[in-house]
Amino acid sequence: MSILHPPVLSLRNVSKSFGGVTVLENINLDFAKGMVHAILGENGAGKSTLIKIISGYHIPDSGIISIEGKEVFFRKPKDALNAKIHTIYQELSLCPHMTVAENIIMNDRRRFGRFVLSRKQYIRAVAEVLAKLEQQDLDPKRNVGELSVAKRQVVEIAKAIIGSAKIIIMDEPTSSISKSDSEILKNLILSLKQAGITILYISHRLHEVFEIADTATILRDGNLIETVEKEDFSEDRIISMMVGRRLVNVYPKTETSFGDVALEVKGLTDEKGGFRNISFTLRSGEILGIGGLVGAGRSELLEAIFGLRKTSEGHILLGGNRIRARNPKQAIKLGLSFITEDRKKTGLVPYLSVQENINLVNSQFFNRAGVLMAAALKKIAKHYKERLRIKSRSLAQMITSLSGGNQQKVAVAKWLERNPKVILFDEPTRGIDIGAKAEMYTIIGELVSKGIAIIMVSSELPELLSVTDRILVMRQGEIVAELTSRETSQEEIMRHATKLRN
Amino acid sequence: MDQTLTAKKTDVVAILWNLLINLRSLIILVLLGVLFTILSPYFLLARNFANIGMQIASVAIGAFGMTFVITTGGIDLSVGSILALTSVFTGWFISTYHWNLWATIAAILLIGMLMGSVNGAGVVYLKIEPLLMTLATMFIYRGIGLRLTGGRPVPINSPLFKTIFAGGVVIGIPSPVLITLVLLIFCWFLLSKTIFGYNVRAVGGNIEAARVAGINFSLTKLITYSFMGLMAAAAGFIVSGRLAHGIPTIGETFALDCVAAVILGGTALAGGRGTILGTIVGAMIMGVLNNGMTLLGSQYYTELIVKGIVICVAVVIDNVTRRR
Repeated sequence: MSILHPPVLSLRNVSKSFGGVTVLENINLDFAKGMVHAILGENGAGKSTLIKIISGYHIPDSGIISIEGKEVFFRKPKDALNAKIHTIYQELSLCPHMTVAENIIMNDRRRFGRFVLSRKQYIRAVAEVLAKLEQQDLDPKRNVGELSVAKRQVVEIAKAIIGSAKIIIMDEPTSSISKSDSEILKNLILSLKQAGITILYISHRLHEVFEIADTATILRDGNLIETVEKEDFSEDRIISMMVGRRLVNVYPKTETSFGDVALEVKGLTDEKGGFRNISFTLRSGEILGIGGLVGAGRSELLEAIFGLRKTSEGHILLGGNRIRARNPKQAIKLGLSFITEDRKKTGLVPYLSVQENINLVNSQFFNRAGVLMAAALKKIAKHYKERLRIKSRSLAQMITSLSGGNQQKVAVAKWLERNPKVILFDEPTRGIDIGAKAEMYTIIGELVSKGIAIIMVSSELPELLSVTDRILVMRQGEIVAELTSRETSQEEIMRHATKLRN
Repeated sequence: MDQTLTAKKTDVVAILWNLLINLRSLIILVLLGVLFTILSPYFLLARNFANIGMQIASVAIGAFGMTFVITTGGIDLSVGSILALTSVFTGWFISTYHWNLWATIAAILLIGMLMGSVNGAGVVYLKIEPLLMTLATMFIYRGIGLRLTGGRPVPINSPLFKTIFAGGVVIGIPSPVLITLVLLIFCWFLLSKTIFGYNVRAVGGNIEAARVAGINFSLTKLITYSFMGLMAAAAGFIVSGRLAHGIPTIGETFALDCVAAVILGGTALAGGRGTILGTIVGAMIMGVLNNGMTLLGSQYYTELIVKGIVICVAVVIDNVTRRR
């Protein structure tokens, strides 16, 4: 830390845990005035917890935060704002039905009147700020709801400037904007920097970080691995710090032989731009992994294959036959199953019993003139409870009283009576403990040995490497690499997932 | 230069479009007006306009209050019950206890406000869904009014009360209309020009942003319900002034009429977007519909059906213009 740039914000031994799980451990960090400081790490490394502590959302369990050498204690987000720390969250916090000016003054509204807001005054102040940001073309009287995401970010930045922020935290600012817009953002960041504002830039897009950051701190599993200065930025080194040296082959992999082509996707393009020109084939008995960062278009691809998303181009062949009418009902009939990422939201029905959840799909088939065939359904539930070793006291138990791992087994069980040919599996082991993970891998192995083909999206690289046969890496909606799982490494996957497009 | 010119051109289109969106309630109103003018010779008479004004006064006042509640993302079903119960109290205070009229008015407004505050407290502190909280108090307040009176009307023996809230005319304007106009200006100012109105829109638009900005969203919501209660009591004066009685059974459809006026005025049920000027137009649409169809000699039953259809059409237009 040079004398020219004393730390504007520093953290000393900051730790935080949630329900006994340590999310951040003894973090020591200094942020220099007028610098762009990137925080890097994989999903779950502790980045968002760190910024939530700095922005007053979470109170750290221990440790000291100080601003320009003075110790501070944030109890609520407003405290951080008062200390001139402004956070721009990924889901921007704006009011769509209010005007640009009204949104910009939100944190500083009291400056423009005690009871009555002086519109003249705040419009003038807002115009000044927008001029400072060289965004005069943005009309302060327009509704924010009519603006593009990039322009909304300008509004957020203006909100920070009008509150004379010293530190601006940006959480994945480019995750939902186009390339040309991210160029505009980059210039904005540089001008903020020149004005002496410190930027905390959270991202997992390495190339962006290399372009704009002066310093980068790498987090992994809640620990601070290293803080690197610009001159020492190296892709390989940073990736290996992000990934770490983890045990890889603790996952059981059953060897299977592949059969015929089960699924073929040709030139599939999302109507809403989530992914483009996706082509691949999948043989029965094969496990195809899809790697990439959050937001790369992986889940969107699975949704499109299952008929939940509209595509503008391309087609899907199942067992050699082209699927025409594309909706989930059709997909299920043709032998597709989809185990979604968020089982609480889209996988299971919380107020129903274990049995009813296992039969979520079957109920649509096992009925006579709309009356459920109770005996048959009970038998099915019993069968899959045993087959997948679902641990519950009874089938009548509420699904929510089961552990995460057992809930996930139910989410799998509900499909099996349909004899699926292809199972789409989005984050199969999210939020379940290590023992349950191993069981889930065993179940996956059993399924492929019966000739089922599996597409598995996972953000956990070790899992991806050891469970799958082949890995497609997606980046910004496109497949950028196809790797053989046995011959690749976490580093190689990360490099493809984060690299700048050539 | 070229750039600014093209920019201007698109601006003009945008402005016209915005005007169309913002005025769509007004356009519906004008179309209805034209329709009834063609169909009935009585519609365009000044006397008839005064009539419409008198008819919509109570719903408009209630709908002003409802605009604040709905803009925060809430709703209040209990306002009809508040209106009825406060009208009963009005009768007692004046006729049975011989209170001073002004003291009665102040006390009744306060009581209405307290009843609204109960709703607000339930929503904010007990975290009961607004729909459920106010459904519960809708029954409770109605039940209290009926128990206290045995279901019988309470006379309000005050000519002055009747003059102020129903019969009076000031510079040619009937007093209920005048009261509505005053409240219209007050509420418009409150929602669009003050910090409180700002907070209401911010809380409904994005509660997280409001929280970060240090807006006391609990208090903001609580106040909207209190204000709603006060406005319901005020609307009650107009109703009981006309009937010269406090009646425990009136206002059964009042809450939903208010909600309908607010929605017709373009306020979003999901919160965040609300305007008082829209609400008065919404109330006028309901009033004109009611009046025009009565002039044409149709039954009340038919009016209900048409009212429902107009609400559907307005919401569809709203959705379509917003989607673009």
